[in-house]
Amino acid sequence: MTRSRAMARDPRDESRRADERAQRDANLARARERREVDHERARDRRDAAIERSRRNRAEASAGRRSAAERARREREVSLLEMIDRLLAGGVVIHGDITLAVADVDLLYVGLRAIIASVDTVERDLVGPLDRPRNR
Amino acid sequence: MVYVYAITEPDAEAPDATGFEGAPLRMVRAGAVAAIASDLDGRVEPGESTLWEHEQVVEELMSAGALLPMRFGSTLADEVALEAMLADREEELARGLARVRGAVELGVRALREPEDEPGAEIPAPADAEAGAAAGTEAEAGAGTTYLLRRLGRSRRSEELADEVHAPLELLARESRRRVVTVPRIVLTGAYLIDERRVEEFRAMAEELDERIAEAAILCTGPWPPYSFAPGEPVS
Repeated sequence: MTRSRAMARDPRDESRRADERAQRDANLARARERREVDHERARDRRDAAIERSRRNRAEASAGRRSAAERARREREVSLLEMIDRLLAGGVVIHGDITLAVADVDLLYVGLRAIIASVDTVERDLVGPLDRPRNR
Repeated sequence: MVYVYAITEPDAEAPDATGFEGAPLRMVRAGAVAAIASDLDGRVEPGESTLWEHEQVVEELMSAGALLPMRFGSTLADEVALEAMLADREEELARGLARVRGAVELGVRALREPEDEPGAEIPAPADAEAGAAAGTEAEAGAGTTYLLRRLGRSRRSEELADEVHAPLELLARESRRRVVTVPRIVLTGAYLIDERRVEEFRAMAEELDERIAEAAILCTGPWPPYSFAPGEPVS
């Protein structure tokens, strides 16, 4: 009866199984310790990563602010330059000019609100550039 | 009514684009000059968007040849009136076209920090007279001190304006400038620049911006030559 003999408990097997169990428990304990250490390290790493990303975000937003600031100023200066040219430069004809002088003044006042932060405009906007200085 | 955007040369192509109210652009020729115009039923309300619209039409025409932009809001009763105007001023406008042919306008603004902000310290006046005046500042009242500061700042602004303008003017066919010492704009300049020198001019403006720490120097354009177009007709 090969089968029943194989099923029979061999005392040596018992002792080997006990060793294996002990070994497994030890391994599990070590693994648990390792996991805890890993966990702590992971928490530190995560905190560091969060801190780094917060710093990066702050720096990026500061960079964006100053780039946006420059872009805004350039946009305003462009608008200022355009207003100056279209309303005080160009070929002037007699005829039904759409804009009366009073309209132009009102327009300056209105547009000045748009470019309020180039706080300037006071006298600079009104009137054409000085006479040409030819070489 | 017709709205007129620009004066150009009679052999320029009529651009395939629209103007105000979506009306197609067309050329009206008279002798040595032509105008780019479009029909207008209503009125062009002046504002930021209509200014840009006018500007955009004119900028699209810049590649077609020499061009004199019209002042914003220039309208005439009809095409006949426009032809009559062109014929009447043909010589003057043709001269104007020759003056700007092959060139564009660049704008330069030099801005200083406002007086009360850090970095806007007023340097001691350079000349002896102002130096002596500054020496008595201790005994002077607050009002006098203020006026001396204002004077020092305004003198420095004039110096800065010259510092910026001189090297730029050398690159220009013609230039126009306005020196404003109150409150932040030091210089407003317009420069008529040969097309082939535009990059050189821009590089110079950038170099000045880096070299002159007291002022920010901003260069805009190329613009149509608004500042170099014939102004009010002699009547």
